[in-house]
Amino acid sequence: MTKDNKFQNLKKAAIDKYNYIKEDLSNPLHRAVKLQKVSDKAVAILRAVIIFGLAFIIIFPIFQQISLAFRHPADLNDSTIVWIPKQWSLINFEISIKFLNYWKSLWNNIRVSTIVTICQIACTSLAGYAFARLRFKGSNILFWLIMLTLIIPPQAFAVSRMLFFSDFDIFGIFAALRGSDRGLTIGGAGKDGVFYLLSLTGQGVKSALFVYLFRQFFRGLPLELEESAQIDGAGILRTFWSVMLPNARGVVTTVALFAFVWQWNDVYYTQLLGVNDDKTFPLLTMQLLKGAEWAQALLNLTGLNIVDGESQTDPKFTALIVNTAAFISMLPLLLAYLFVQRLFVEGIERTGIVG
Amino acid sequence: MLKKFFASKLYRIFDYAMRLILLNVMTFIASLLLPLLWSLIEVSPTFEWVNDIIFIPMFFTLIPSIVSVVDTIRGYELGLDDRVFKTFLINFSKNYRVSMKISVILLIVAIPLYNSFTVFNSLKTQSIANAIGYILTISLVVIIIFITMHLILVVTYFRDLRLIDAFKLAATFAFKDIFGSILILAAFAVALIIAYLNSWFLVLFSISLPLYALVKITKSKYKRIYDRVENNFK
Repeated sequence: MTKDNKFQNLKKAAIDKYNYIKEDLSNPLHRAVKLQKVSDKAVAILRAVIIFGLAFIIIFPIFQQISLAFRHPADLNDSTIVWIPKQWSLINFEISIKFLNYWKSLWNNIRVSTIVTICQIACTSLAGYAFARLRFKGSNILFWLIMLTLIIPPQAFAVSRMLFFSDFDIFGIFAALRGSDRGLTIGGAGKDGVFYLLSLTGQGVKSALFVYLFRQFFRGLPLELEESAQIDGAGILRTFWSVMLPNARGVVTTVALFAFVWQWNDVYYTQLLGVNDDKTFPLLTMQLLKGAEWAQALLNLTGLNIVDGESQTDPKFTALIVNTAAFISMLPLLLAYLFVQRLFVEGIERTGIVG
Repeated sequence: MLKKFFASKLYRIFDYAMRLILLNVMTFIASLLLPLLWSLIEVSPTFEWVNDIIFIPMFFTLIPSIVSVVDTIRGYELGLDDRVFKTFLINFSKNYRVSMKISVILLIVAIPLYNSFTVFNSLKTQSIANAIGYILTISLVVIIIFITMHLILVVTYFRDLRLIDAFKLAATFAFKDIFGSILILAAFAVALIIAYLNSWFLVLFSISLPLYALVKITKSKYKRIYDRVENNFK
């Protein structure tokens, strides 16, 4: 083989190799697979960024709240302190507990939220079952009217509701019983019964949503379950209690969790119905609302000598106290969340709503 | 016990770090030996002109060393060879011709680009045309960097290709996987910044670590085609 021929052969081999690689690179199957891989990766990265961002937005203020709560008032104006206090202190907690009337408020909150939760479950599950299974004339219209209460803001009918509860009567029965021309006055300081009444009559916090959840769930259960119960001689209530409700454990948990949390954080109804009473029936959220003025007044009037005079008049200090009060108000929920985390997440997954 | 230690992840990490350090030092020696030695000597004013020409030999050794480092890392990654010194030197001589061609082409491209960059950089605020020229120059530089990074890989993975074909393939690889190319560029930029801030990093990892990233990031794609080519053109 001559030198020229050898060179030509090498050149041909090189070109063949190039063409082969080029062909391989432009293979549509490889390209599709690669595109899919790239898009999967991009989606994963995007998802990670969004989740991380959301987690940051939610967790960051809580950490900041904890850090501030343990900070001594003397460290307030020290710009070198970002996260870890130089002087650890429980003073903020002591003051917050005093001005929130914490233990009493906590007990009231737990009591009200628990009873309201039970009432909400009892009422909305029954209503949901009725809308899902018991067909009657106008049931759909009634259901969508209930749904309407979700859409219309509660502020829109605040006045009418107030008037309704200030003269509450059913066909004049209560007025006749009392020998008066006016019905019952429901609500007022310390009268937490109004919450239970509201929940039992399907007017509690977001009751319509719970009715919807129960209705959707019961509609998904097989008819055969009910039919077999009816063959065994069970009536509607018996079927509901013994067959349907045990199967709805998941939804009951979800509704219970949300009803409890929303009632715990409720300010609107508590304020509207004037249930809170600072001395006899304090509630955490309402106590917190009065926050800044209360803290300042308490410090000035009672002369709590736990911090020096300069800090007492510092607006930052008042803000610090309110921050700590907010932290201890939500602390029971945070602690409870640690134990019912799985149920809570499952509830959100099942319903697609966030508390 | 010893066997377990050699199989451990910790050992592998340190082993790899040692290899990268050796490759980095060898690149420095191969391309910067004369300037390094010269910097040790107290130069009399008569020989100060040497300072201007002492970097010229670097032109003949820098790109070949880089290609050789890439080839060595590639060989180790593909399980072809696990030596460092000997492989580096073999690869250096094996790739020298093609590397020199790349060096010359890069030099030819770099001179007008440098000129264009300095001109447009000084005039960019004066008119919109100059600003566009500046942006175009920067874009061109980025494109050339992309192609050069892949060109080094193409010449090490697929030998015997004509240089023009290697360029075409490098361009295809660079823009087919643009995210990968950007990632590699980011790795180089980070290494450059750290090397600027820390002289120890400069000496130990500044060249070999970004080249390792280059090989590692592109490995899956190149290996697939490399295996097919090897099977078809034995």
